[in-house]
Amino acid sequence: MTAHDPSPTREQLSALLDGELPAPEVDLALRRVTRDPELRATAIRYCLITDVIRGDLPTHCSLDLVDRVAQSMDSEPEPAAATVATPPAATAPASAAGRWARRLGGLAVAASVAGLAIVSLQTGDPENASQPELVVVPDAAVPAPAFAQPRSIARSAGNPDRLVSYYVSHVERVAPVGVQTGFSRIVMSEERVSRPREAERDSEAERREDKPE
Amino acid sequence: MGNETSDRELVQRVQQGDRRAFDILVARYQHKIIKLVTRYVRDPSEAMDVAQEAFLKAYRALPGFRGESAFYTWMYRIAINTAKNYLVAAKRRPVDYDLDLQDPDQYEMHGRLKDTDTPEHMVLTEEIRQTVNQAIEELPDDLRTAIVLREVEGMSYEEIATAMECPVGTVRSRIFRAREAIDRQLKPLLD
Repeated sequence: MTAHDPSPTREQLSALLDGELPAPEVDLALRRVTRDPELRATAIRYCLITDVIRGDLPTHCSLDLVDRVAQSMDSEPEPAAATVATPPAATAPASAAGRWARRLGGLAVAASVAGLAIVSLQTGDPENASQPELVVVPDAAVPAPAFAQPRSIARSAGNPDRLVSYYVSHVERVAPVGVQTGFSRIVMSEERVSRPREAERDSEAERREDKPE
Repeated sequence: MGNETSDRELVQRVQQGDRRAFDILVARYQHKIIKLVTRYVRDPSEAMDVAQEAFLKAYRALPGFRGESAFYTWMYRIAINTAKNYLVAAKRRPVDYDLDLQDPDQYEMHGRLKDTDTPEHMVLTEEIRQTVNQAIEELPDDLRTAIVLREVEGMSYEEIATAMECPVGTVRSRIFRAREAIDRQLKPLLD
């Protein structure tokens, strides 16, 4: 077999679609099929063949749904919760880590106040206090709301001010309109003050980083 | 069985940022999902839109998918919810989820063909079906048996190897050659 003979790759594809490709070959085969348009088209036709044989072909057969979905996917940003699967610290680039440190420093006061508030909440209401740990998006057990949740959850999961965010959103949910606890007033005002400052610091730091050495 | 393994691999790749891996998942389940959605949204072009939306929702939510259920099970639920939401948004009666085509009112509401559901589409679908079936008929016995045991009976390569008294590698090769033979006849139809 020569390198130009597509059969070995296509045979791998066939076995891959059956879930029968040996584990060491899977990664390479997947990379090929997702990068080679011809192989991708073959995969789509193989799937079509499977559907016909299994009687899964609808009366109105779709021949372009894969492309339609692909185009729609390409026109929107990467799913925001992509970092949920891996710890943010492990995947964040160095500059982001620096920014993290700055943000953490800048928010030390707010976070400590919020942390105190959380401790207080935990004492009072352990069920609610466990909510910040719900970092992973619930899957299709409750599919409808699951679509709306990943981004906001991901943001709070990878954000140093998540405790503050949590506390603010918690207060928004539990406190009657117009009623704020002492803690909420402190955290809210700290939040309002610290955010613009923090943004200022970040942009200043970014300007410094952008300057050539 | 086997599909779940490769679904898991594909899902992981998408979660790592490889969008094209999702294409394979769409290709694998598009017709099942369209068939499912068509139970709720009768109009074929609307069903296609709903199926597309369902896949997009799945794509967006995929980072949070932990693989506690099979991908298709998860996708299936998303598709049903998308279809129900679509009907609600379209201010249609959110259906007693088993529409009866014999019901003339429902047929009138959901069953009419739209412009996009052209006879050409239906003819093409029928042509695809006939071409594949004809190609299977023309396969040598060993290839036909292998592909039928795989696709219709859902047997693993190892089970097929036992049934056909041959090595697993031979089964893999026979199934591949069967697909290639069918594909050779199918491809011109789709080009």
